[in-house]
Amino acid sequence: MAATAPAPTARPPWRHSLKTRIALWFGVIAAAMSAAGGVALYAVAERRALADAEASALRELRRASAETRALLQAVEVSAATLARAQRAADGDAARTLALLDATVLSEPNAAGGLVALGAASSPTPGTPWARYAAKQGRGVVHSDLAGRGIDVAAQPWFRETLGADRPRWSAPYFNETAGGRWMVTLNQPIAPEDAGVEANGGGEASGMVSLDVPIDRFNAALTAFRGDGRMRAALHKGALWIGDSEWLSIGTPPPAAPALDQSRATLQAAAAPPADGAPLVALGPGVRGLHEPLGEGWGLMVLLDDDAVLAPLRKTTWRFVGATLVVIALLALLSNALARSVTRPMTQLGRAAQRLAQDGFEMPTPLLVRKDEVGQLARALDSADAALRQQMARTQRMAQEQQKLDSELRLAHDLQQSMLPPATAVDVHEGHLDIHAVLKPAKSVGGDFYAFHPREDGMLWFGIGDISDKGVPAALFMARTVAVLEATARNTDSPALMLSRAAPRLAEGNESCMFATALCGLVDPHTGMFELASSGHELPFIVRADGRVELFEMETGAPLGIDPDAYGEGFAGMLAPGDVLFCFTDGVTEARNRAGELFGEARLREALQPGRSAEQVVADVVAAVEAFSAGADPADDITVLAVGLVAPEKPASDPLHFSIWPSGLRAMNRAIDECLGSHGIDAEGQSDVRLVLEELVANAIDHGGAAECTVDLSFTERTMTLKIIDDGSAFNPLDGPDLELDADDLDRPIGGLGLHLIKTMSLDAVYAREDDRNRLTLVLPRNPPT
Amino acid sequence: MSDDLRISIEGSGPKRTCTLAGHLDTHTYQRADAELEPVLADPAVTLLVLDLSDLDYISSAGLRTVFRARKALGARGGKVLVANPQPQIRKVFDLVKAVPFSEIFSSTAEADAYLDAMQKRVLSGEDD
Repeated sequence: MAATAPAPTARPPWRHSLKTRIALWFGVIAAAMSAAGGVALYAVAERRALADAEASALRELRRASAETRALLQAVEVSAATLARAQRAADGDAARTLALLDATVLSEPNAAGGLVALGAASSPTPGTPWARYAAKQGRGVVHSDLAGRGIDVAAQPWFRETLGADRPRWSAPYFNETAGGRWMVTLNQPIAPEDAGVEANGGGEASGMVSLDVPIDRFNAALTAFRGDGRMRAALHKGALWIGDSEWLSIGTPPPAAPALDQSRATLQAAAAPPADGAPLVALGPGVRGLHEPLGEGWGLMVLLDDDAVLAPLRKTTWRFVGATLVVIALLALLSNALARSVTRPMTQLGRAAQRLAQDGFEMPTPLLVRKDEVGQLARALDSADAALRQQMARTQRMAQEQQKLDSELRLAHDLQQSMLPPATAVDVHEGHLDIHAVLKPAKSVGGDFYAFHPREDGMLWFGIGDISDKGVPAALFMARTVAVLEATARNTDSPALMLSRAAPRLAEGNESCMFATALCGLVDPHTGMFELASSGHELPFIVRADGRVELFEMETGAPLGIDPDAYGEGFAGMLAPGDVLFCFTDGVTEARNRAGELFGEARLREALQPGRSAEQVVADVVAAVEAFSAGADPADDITVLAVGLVAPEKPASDPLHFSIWPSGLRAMNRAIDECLGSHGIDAEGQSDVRLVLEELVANAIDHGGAAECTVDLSFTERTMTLKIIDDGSAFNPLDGPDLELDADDLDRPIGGLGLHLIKTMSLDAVYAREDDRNRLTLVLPRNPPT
Repeated sequence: MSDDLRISIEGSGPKRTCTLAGHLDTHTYQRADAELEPVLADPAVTLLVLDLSDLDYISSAGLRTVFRARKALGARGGKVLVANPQPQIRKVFDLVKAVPFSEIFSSTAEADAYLDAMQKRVLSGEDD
């Protein structure tokens, strides 16, 4: 039927939406690519920046070194010139002063100059002569050291200079004479006249000249480093720092800086000045440096701070990262918008498909006119619409036809069930026959059948059978079989005749060669005696009141429907009160469980319990089969039919007890006869009892050596029960062979007749050997009292 | 009902009628055998009619007596006919197929009629 419309599906949650996924992936990929590119670029840029900074540091260092060297040399040359000229002055004070002034004024680096002459070469013979010229404005101001009371010859600097053989730079010092500034002084001894430059040591110097250079002059070389956060340069003379690019000097040296000392020590300890390839020496995290010795304790050191070098690059990088994130966010928004343009038509397509059940694929026009893939899909669905509608209509038609067929089958099933008689009971006097049956078809119309009805003569007729097929044809054949059997059952007392008369009528015109197995029976409600005939049907069971389950063995004829001359024999049996005759079709024993096992005879026997009514027996078996085959497809119809002889409400009379002892067999027989007569047993019944007892008791005494024998008698409406107990040797009278009886054979053996009679006459016989006694129970029929 | 056996044998020549009354059973069959002994031993006797009208009971021992009689007469071409058995006797006879159905009659008169017919046929056969 019409497919139930699917519940309108909500939009997929945002995290499942294609839209989200596209945007997310765009963003992730863009971010990943930006990160990878950024990292690579940064690495290159960092390397470049460091290399540039290093090159720059080296360049500046060389330049500053050269500048400082030039300064030192210039001062040294000026001093040397003054010293040489001083010799030429030859003790003339005025010339000496003029030379000094000229030198001080011409040497831009000098703040002042000194000429000190020993007593030997002094213009004032006998006393040392020392004049200092300090630059002041455009001129110089002289001061006479000796005149100020300074004993020049005793000054350490004078003595040291005169002792040296070449000019010496002093350590920086605070010079009060030259205006309270830090100075470095070049002290040049004045060599003796005859001594050449190449032979300074030829004689003791007679005096000295010196030039004072303020430390600020040196610091000018560091100017290029100032304001450059990346580099720091520092100049030293010996252990003292003269200038530092980070210290603004106004004639003062920078304060003590252990860090600088440390760096210098490290750099000076490093091996030979590094080659150009790896010029800088690492000093610590992010700091590298180089030290250039300038001779005579002078040195220039440059430190490069990598963090400061990279700071601008890092700043730029963070800006780039921020800008990239903004761009990625914009891209994600853009892709979201793009994705929406894809998913929106898809959502519309989905909604249109949801309406399929009601309206078919009615595609919205905007979708149909699209030129992209969405439009293609919409047009495809639109054109499938007609085919789908057709298909749906066909399906609906087929469903209706199937429904019609189903209802016809149901009708056929109901009709078939209505042919089966309901459970019934046939009452006779105090007891009655009780018959019950159930048919469970495997398909809605089955091939099994059963039938029964009480006949006018009071006998109960029943039949049960199984058609060789299933479905409607089998049901029709079954209806015919039941009708034929019911008709033949009216005209004869012999079940064998019923079947043999039905055989030709069912074989006639049976083109499809269907056949039926059948079991027919007649039961006498008065006596419980029955006769059965079978056409290839399953043998029935008798469930005895005492719990025994007996297979009723009989020969069966050919199935009905094939051989018109099929003929089976009738077999008689007896139901005692409480016994149930149980008939069934092979659907019971051949029911399978899910594992494929058969229900089988053993399980059937287990399901057959004594003391149950026919209806209960039927229910027990059906329940057992259903429990066994639960979950498996029913393979065959299951039909069971039970006929029970119900015990009368009034229990049988108490057993009457007779003993052979002490008066003997004849006396016992007489007593029993009398008793039988008084209980309304007719001559036939008396004769039966006497016959049976005579055989058994005579046997027990003559052959078994019995000394004691007792007989208990009890009666019901239809039966007499004898319990014979003797103490003779073990002997089961029911074990003897069946006799071949032929009335015309005069030479036949004449023994064994007694046991044959017992077996033939008794309805039921049970033998047991207990307590060294033979115990035989016989049930004999009796004619009901009139 | 008496549990004794009363037996009388009448007739002469080839046909004898033996009337059995009461019980023919394990206690009495020996007497019946003894009474029938001369009849069965007499080669002149070819027909024995057992009149069982008053026989109330027969047991397997009694049946053996009947069998012996049938065998003795059968050996010389004779017959044993059974007349008028009571239903319980008839039932036992049927159960053990003691005597062919055709040789059981509902009365001695019927048996006689049967015998007459037989005789006539024999006689006419002899005439032919």
